[in-house]
Amino acid sequence: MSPSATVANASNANRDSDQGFVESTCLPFLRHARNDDGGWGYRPGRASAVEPTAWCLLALGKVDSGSEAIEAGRQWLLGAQNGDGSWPTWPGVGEGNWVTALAGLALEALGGPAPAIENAARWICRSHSAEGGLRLRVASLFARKKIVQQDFSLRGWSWTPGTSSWVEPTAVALIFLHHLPSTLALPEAAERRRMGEAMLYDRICLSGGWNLGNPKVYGVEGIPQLGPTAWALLALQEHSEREENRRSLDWLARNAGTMNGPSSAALAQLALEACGRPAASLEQKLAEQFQNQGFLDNVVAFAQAAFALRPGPDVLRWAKAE
Amino acid sequence: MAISTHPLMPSTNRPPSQVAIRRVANYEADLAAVISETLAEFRLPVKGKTVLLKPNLVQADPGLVINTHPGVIAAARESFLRLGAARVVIGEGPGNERDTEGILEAIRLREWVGRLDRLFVDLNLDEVKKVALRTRASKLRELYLPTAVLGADLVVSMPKMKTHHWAGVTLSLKNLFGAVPGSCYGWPKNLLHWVGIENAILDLATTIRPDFAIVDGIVAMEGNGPIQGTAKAAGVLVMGDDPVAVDATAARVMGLVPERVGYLKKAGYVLGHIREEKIRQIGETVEGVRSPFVVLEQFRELVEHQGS
Repeated sequence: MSPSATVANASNANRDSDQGFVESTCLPFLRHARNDDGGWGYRPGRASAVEPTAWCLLALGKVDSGSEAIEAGRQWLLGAQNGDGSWPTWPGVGEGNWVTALAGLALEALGGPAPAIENAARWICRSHSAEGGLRLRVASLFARKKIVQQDFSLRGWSWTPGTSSWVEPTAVALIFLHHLPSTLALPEAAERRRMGEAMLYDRICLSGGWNLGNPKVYGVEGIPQLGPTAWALLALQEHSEREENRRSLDWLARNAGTMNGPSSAALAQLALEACGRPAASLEQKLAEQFQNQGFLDNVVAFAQAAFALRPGPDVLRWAKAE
Repeated sequence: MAISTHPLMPSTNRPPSQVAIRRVANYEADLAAVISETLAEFRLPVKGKTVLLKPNLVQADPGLVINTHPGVIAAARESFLRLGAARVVIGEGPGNERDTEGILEAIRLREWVGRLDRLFVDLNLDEVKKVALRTRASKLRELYLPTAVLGADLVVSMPKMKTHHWAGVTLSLKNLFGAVPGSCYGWPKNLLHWVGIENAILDLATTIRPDFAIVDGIVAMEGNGPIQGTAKAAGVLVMGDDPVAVDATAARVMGLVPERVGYLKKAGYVLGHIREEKIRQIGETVEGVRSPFVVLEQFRELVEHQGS
């Protein structure tokens, strides 16, 4: 029997005791899915990876703070950090990449340790996407026809070093940098944040909202997507007065219910709540999705659902809502 | 299949290929019968094998124009099981949407094949192994690739027949971008763009060459594909065990010249056939089903009767 099926049986039994979906389903799944090494894989029983471990620490950190599981997860994360401060997707798999900001954010939520966070922050501030580089600027100058219409002087963060900036890695890096302790002397962080925010505003879709990061290709307007829009609004939540934020928030509120995937639903809920928009209850919808597909045993999806539904300290929410 | 051992050799040394074109009016047809009969003609060694179906699932599109139709996926699964496959899984790593489950729900795949949690592998999140690429068309020398792909005995590429605003056309070879894990390379798999899309397609295709290709051209996409184009009822399934020949044939059905599609031309040198005289057609003829596709201005030169 699959892990989600096991949890489904428990979930049905627990419904009698009127537990919520998080308590009856998500949290047991996450606790059950933890590997012996302290980390979590993308699916139960698979090798521990940085992204699922970071999300599990964010989610379980709200309920199991100080537990042995949280401490073991934190130790696993620290052990997976590269010497340069970055994290790869899996330990030993390639160089540091986009998961660095998420791992750093999880450590921030857990309260440290500060040196690991500082090393991550230094790597992120040193990590430059390709925009602003010679290749893209020259290509942009001499292009017969503009393929994408965006400001190549604005650098955010890429998924992998040396490639283009995209919305999600930029947004997560901005959120991570926002939470850096003021005692950390990292002068370049302020300029990277300013530039990263400008890059996000440059990549907004005409209708409001964001797609992965190409809002217009060959003159054709791109279609916004829930995940990138939620991430961008979370990263830019201090600028709720800006027209772009309002337009995007309207788009998100109108479209939050259109995607039947747990990740999109959870991220949309997080962004709507962080921006002060009342969101329809997510719990019933996620419970239905779980019954349909068991979230495909995707540990990140379970953790995002739990994080979105469970009240508690929230590193994704800090600005005063409108 | 692990890494492909298919010989890389000049097309002059390669025996002719065979491609099947089947006319299929709509998705209500008996697709499993069409695919089963075609598979039988190719005598694929399926019995007892693990088969990975790799559809093209890009974005949540209930209109079923962007993605390989779930009916075709279900029919292929049934057909391989009928032929004695031990296991048939569906694997995809969407490049334009992180929420894979949202895509699967949008196309209602569950209603066609049953619960997906044991049947579907998200190739974006699967564990990976480092693989040395067999060609050096791009500057990539190696890639991390999903174990579900590397561990399958047979990989079946099942693209949607579409125009593509970067590559000109997307078929069974371009569909391999979905086998590159987003967990390592992001969404989209931008590294593949940076090293040159055409070269990246070639390096992937020589390394994880699909054993069979089934192109869903029943309702295809023309214009500004692969996402924002318009539906085009081409009414065909194009199938075969030489994915290069399948793509070349599908391009001809679309009214395009495969020799002018950069990556197909290169693939035609080393991996399979693109020349018409080297492809034996079974089922319909290209002329019998040709249905010229609208292409973006920058790809006008791909169109037959354009250019020299």
